[in-house]
Amino acid sequence: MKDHVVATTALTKRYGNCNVVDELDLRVERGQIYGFLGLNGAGKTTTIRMLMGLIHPTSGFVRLFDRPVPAERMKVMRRVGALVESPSYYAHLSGRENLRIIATILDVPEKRIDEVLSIVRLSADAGRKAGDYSLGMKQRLGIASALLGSPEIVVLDEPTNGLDPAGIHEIRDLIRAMPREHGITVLVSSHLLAEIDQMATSVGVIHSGRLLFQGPIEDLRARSQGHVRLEVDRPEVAVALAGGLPVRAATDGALELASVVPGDAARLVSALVGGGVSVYRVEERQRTLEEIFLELTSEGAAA
Amino acid sequence: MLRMLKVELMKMQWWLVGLLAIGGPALAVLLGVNPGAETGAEAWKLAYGYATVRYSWLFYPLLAGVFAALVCRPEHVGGGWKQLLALPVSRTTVYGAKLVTLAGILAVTNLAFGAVFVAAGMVSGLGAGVPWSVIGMSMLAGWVAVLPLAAVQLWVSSRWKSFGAALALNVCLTLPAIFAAQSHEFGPWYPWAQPLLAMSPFASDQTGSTALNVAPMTLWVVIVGGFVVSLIGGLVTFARADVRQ
Repeated sequence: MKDHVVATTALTKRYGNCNVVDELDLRVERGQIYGFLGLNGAGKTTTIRMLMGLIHPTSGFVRLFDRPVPAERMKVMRRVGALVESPSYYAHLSGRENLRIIATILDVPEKRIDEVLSIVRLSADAGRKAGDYSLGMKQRLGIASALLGSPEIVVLDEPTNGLDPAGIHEIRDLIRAMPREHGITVLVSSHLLAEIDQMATSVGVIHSGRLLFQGPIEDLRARSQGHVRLEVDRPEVAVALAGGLPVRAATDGALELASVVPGDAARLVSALVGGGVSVYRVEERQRTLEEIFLELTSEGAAA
Repeated sequence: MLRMLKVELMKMQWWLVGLLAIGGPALAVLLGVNPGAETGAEAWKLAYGYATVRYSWLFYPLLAGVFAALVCRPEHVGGGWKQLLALPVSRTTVYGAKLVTLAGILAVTNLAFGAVFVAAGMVSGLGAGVPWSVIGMSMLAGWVAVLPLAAVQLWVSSRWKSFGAALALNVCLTLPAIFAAQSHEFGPWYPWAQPLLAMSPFASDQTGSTALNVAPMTLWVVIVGGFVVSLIGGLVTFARADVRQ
């Protein structure tokens, strides 16, 4: 059995008569950077809050380190660092004082405050009031807070939200370094596919509260397997001429051949021409992750 | 719990608390000081009676609400609830630490009131014969009597993000206390009238007092009962609530 740091079973949260989170079976393994991907309002934050014991599930179960949450929350939360959505901070206190409050609760030494400050590169600004920090600095302070207790997993909810490109880059580098340099498993949520694509080793795609895909990011990328696109004059006739080839009519009237073997394209073209169909254009297409994501979400919406 | 209490003390805005805890009682005393010809123990008692009316009717219950809001404010302002409650601390501990902090601040406020009163009395020439035992007992009784209000206000303040809303509710409940306190049937039952009844050396003459200046029924049912009910109510609400903001 795999070492699941996070495992949920049929996790559901209902507000009114809408399942904001619907029968979610999340699996995060040790050492992964798990990208939790979904549009705004898809249920990411609600899910993460249920993992942290901040919101009580309507039904289903959460296990962290194979212990039930919230029943044994107190035992496992020492091993979890969290940054839940917008940064939390005490505006009237300095960055260092903010960390000292959490350090007092976690009973970690002052030395560790210096360490996390240097990890997120806030050492120089540690004495300034957190309320005067830029959004990027507040976000980094939040990450420093999450790292303070030397956790085994860090849960970061939209850590790059509202940051400028430089800030996004910085946070991304930090996250990528975590499993490598500190042995920390990361669960990071985002509504930006490109961002997850650049950091994650594993992905979960959530839409309308349902998990549409979960697995290695390579599997999601494999869905971007190319196809050959043909523009023809009579698509309705053309599909019948395809023989055993994997051809389907695309919505815009073109044909899609789900194979990039060169011989297949040649056979299809000669069959079409032999059958009296004019071929205007033949091109190879790679599906972007964005298209896969849209396809997954539209499947999910139709279901 | 001690660690959590330390954390609460670390994040309070002490300048504001200090200003209110000393300024509030000072204002109440100064408004009530009425230099007369009399001196000595009876004059002290009379002056104390006047001073407590304003303070214990209005200032003290209002300050209980303000401090309750201030105790919850650090979390409300910076979105701190979700961070704090995701840490390995139980919600009971967090709530308990806030209530203890609040009770502590209210005790200090009452001490400040006593100190300011005695100082003002000396300055305005009441002379010797400070009734220490009357004042001491009154301050203790007032503190005990304000605790149920504090528990109610903490309940409200922990739920409501708005400082103003919690305060408005408090004002609405505090103002009628002066009328309630004058009614023999209603007074002993109205929680917001308890600090006034408990602190005033006049009130105790009427009700047949116990050690804490209040009728035993009132003490147990309204003060202790009110405190226990609001504490449990606030705690259960706080422990069960979904943290969504």
